[in-house]
Amino acid sequence: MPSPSAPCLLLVDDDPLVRMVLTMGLQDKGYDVTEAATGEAAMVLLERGLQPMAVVSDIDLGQGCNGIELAERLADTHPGLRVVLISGRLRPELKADRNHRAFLPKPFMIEALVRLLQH
Amino acid sequence: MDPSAFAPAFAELAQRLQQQELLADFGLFALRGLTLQPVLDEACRVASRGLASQFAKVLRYQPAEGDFLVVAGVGWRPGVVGHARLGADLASPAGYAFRTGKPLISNHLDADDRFRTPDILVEHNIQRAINVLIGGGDTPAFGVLEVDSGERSDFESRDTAFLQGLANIVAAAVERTERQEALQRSEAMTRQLFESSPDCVKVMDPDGYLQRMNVNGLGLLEIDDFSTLAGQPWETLWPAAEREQIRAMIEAARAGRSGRFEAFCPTAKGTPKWWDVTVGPVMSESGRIESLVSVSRDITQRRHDMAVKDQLLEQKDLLMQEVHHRVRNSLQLVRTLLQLQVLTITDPAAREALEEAGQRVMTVAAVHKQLYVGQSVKEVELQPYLEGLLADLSVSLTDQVNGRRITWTADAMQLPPDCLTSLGLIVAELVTNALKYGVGQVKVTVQMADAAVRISVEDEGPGFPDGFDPGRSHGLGMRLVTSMANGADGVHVDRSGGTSRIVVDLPLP
Repeated sequence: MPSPSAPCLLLVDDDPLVRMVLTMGLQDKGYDVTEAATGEAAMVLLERGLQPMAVVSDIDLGQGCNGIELAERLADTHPGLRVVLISGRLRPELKADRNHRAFLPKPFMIEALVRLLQH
Repeated sequence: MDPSAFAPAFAELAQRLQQQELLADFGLFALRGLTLQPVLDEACRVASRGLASQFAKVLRYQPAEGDFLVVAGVGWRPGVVGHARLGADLASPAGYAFRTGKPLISNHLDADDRFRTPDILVEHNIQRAINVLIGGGDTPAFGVLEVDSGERSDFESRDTAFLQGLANIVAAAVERTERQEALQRSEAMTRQLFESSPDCVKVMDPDGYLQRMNVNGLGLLEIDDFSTLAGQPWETLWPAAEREQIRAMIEAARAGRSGRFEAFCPTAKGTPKWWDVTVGPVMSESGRIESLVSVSRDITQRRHDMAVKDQLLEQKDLLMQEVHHRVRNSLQLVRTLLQLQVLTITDPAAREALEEAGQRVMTVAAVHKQLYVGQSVKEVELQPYLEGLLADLSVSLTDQVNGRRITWTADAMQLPPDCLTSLGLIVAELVTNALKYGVGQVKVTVQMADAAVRISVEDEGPGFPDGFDPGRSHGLGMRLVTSMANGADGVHVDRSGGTSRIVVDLPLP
């Protein structure tokens, strides 16, 4: 389990299994992970005072806003909050680390995500 | 001098003057005639009167039978005109005139050795006959005009001139009648084509005002009464958004050019329809534009079918993307679970095996991704596939890459997906090994070699240990590579360059 002073992440993914295993993997790496199934749920958590060091969000979030729209909303509401986008779809047009928006295609190693978060 | 001596000359003169009048009157008659038969009948009467003979006939040549049919006549018993047939050979007086084109006078038929006397002439006690050709020249001759006599004096050459003049007027009437009939047939065919066309066919005057529309067109446009549109500009049938294009089409047609376009236009009853429209001029022989014709084909169903097809293709693409998305989500699950599993294992060998397994999930994912980036499911271009695969491997093997470069060269080629899957796995395996156990830059080369694709991977290390035979390695990775290369002979180490270079020949299907 992460320590009380563990860095906090907000993980947004509409697939509960993927959310579960990523949470477990990130917790093993020492992160405190809060989960959200939709972009809207993530916004509610942030408005209620959650202060993660970064948001890790899948791009496809089912109904509601997608991960890119969430990142653009956060750029207005929480400027400076790091967003890492992940996706199982082919997104060759996405480039890493412009406007604090890195991208990892699935499947990825937890270490690769950790490296991005620590960069 | 005795005035009575001039009587024959006066009589002759009177007859010639009468013949001239007869010819003049007949010419007017023939000009006014709408059909041919009255002209032929009158020609016989005039011939009979002009030559003071009871009998005259028109013999029309029958090409299929090669003889004459009596088509008009005076003086003959009932049943002759329209039925009697005479020979058209040179032994027949009429046949002689027809074949030679020269007028023929025979004043003693029964004693004339040149000809046989046709039965019909014998029946009517005909002793004399004069025949002239009707028509000829550039067109096939119509037949022969013949005057026959049993009791008058001999026909003379002066009689030929009168009869030939008569025949020439008949020939002109025949030609005019044939032209009229040809024109009527042409008009009938045009009408048939106009009405039988399944499309909407409109005829307009050169200014684009509607004159006619075919029945099918009225049906397609759901117009109940064309008279409400006759004389209106064609553009008034179209929505305002299309009228400028319509006007441009009309202008182009007036300039002698045909045009084509597709546009939307609802019917008179509001049914939405799409049309494929052509517009063109109809020109006279002198090049003057007599009218404009437009053909509009209803393509509403075709447009609908294309939209459905596009929608289906889009759905197929979305479906494929969803499939790949779910596959990659599943691979993410497996990858992460393996990683978590590794954390629970203390045995180093077991940990390494699980880490290798996790890495293979990454390489399979990289191979899968690159295969489905392209559009074709039959053949895939090698170069972009290899470039993408190595880029993904660099990301997934970041720790091992550690700043080292992976370069590649490849022949341009297209390969089926199954072959590329094996190639991708081989490259991934060899590059992973080069990164794990090698040194420096890693270079990948893929070339066509006989019936195989030759894959080589080398690094800047000192080379493989002496005695190392990759084809007989027990490691899972090299066993996979050897199996895909169809045996140990397909895998060998190249020690010639002093670097660590391994070469695999992947047989082509």
